[in-house]
Amino acid sequence: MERTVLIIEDEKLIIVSTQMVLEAAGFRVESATNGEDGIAKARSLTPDLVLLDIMMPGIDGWETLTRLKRDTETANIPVIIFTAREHARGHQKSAEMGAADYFRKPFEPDELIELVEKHVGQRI
Amino acid sequence: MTCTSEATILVVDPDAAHAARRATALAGRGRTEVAGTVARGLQELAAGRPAMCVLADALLPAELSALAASARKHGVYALLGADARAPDALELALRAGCDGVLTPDEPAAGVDDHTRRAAAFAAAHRLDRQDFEALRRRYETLQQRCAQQAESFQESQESYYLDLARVMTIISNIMDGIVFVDRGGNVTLLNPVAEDLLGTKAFVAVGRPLRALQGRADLLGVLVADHDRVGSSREVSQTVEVHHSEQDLLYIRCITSRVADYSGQPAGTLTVLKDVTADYKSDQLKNQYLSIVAHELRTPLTGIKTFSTMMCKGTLGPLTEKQLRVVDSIREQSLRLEHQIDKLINLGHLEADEYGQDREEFSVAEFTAGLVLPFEQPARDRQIALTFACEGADDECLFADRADLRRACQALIENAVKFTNDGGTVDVRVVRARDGGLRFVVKDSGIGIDPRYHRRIFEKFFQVEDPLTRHHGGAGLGLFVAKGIVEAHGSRIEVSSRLGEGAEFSFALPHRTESAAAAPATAGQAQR
Repeated sequence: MERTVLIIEDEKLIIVSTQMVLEAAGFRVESATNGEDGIAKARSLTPDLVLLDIMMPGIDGWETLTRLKRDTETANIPVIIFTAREHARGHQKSAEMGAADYFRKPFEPDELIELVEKHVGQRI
Repeated sequence: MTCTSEATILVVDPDAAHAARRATALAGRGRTEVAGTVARGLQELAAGRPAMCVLADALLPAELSALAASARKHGVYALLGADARAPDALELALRAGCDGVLTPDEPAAGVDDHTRRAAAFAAAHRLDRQDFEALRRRYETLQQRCAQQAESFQESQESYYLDLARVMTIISNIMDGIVFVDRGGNVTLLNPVAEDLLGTKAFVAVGRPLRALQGRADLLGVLVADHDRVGSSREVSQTVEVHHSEQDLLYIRCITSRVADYSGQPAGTLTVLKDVTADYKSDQLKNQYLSIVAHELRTPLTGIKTFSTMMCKGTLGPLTEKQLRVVDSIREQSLRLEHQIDKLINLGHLEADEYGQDREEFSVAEFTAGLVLPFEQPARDRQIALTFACEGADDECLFADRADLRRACQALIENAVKFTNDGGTVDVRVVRARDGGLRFVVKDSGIGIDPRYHRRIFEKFFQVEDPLTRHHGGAGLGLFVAKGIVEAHGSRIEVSSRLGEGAEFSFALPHRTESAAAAPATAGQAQR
């Protein structure tokens, strides 16, 4: 069965490059460029994993994560926080808020695939 | 009986004929001088002429008393020559202060007897006089010295009060708060700035225990804590947020140092309260700016790195050898750029007090896996033998911010590889220290560091070489960042090196023990 990854990220370049890496590894990739749209797609598509950026216009990644975890339909989808900006206690904060992992951009394609493989489908 | 050559018998007798007879009678018993009047006789004695004996005759009792007193004062034997054998001659002589009586018909033996007593008297008085002279000289010398000492004491007292006035003027007018607390924990000095910051007054605080002061509780609490913990170290410092007024939030750096008395014994503590609000705010702005810049740089970099990596791996189809070389170079440069951005972020990190925040437990084996990997290729390219050894500590448990600790260790390895000449060696080891803890050690055979730079190499942007002519790249941030991380974990980087003799950097790894679990938090607090 095809595994779906939803990327919630406002930078088109990141979406395209991440999509290429994951598609080459056999994943189906969907994307949303803001938090609201991302939450809607998570509810309609119920992906196997969400890659979530923090700094986005509108509601930011933390708020998106909170809403995903509050909604019973999306609460069990593993979410990997995916950020280019340093956050104080980023690891700790994301774990406390229910994220499955915390990953920094730029990334090594192989490491990203490894991490996605680790968490994909591991519904909480 | 012989007289000393100086010894003289002074005959004081207004009757010249009588005096001449006396002189004749005394011939052979010393040189005889004759004074015709009492005044003359007193003059002779006052002049200090050496006289052994005064023989007075035919004088009034008052004159005789004056002469005898002068004779006694000058240590001369006084003798009354009695013409008549008056029964009261001896009494008169003694009352007037004479030592004896000489009668005209006294046999030679009697004269000799008087002469002997006069000589003994003179000798005894001469000795007394010598002692007296010596004592007088010593007294004068002492008096002189006392006067000198008093003068110099006054001078030093004046200079002391002047110095004290200067110091007090500085303390009163300085822009920093100053608080001095004695060994017993009582406040002994509080300047106006400290009064304002602590919310108390010197006349209330001085003489009272620091911990009993009423005022701005947050800052006073820090002062009490620092006063207690400075005992084990020379100086402790921390930055505290102080709500000075409703709109005014201040950042106060409290630096507490031990003070020793003249014999080196602890005399108390001195706390300097520095308002670092402006620096702190500019740091915050700088860090926000750095964070935004890093984000803006990392986003396009993610694309460049991902695409070039995929092309190198052939995921997007086969490339010619030339294309592969170009794409590989793009990938390598993107990695370098990423590394530089990381360093910039680390710099911001240190100043935002964010090192060592994500602490967790992990094994030494987990930590060291792949630690030297990024440096293997660069080392091979320059024929540097890069070795790694973990001496039986694989299963030990560390408690630290794993990513930060990795950055610190890699900064030391990178530094060692960079400053080692082609064909040299770099040994990375985790060893067991004597105290049972673990140490991370990087030893190289590189160019070494002059001991005078051992402290400065940890300064931000510091490079030993001239930046325009140097052979080794880099921004001068690696060691600065490593130091910040290691200190945030409660340890310190030790350097051992001489110019041309390689270098060894090492620090104690944050080992998981009961005490280690609590200790780093305190050490981290002292950092900002």
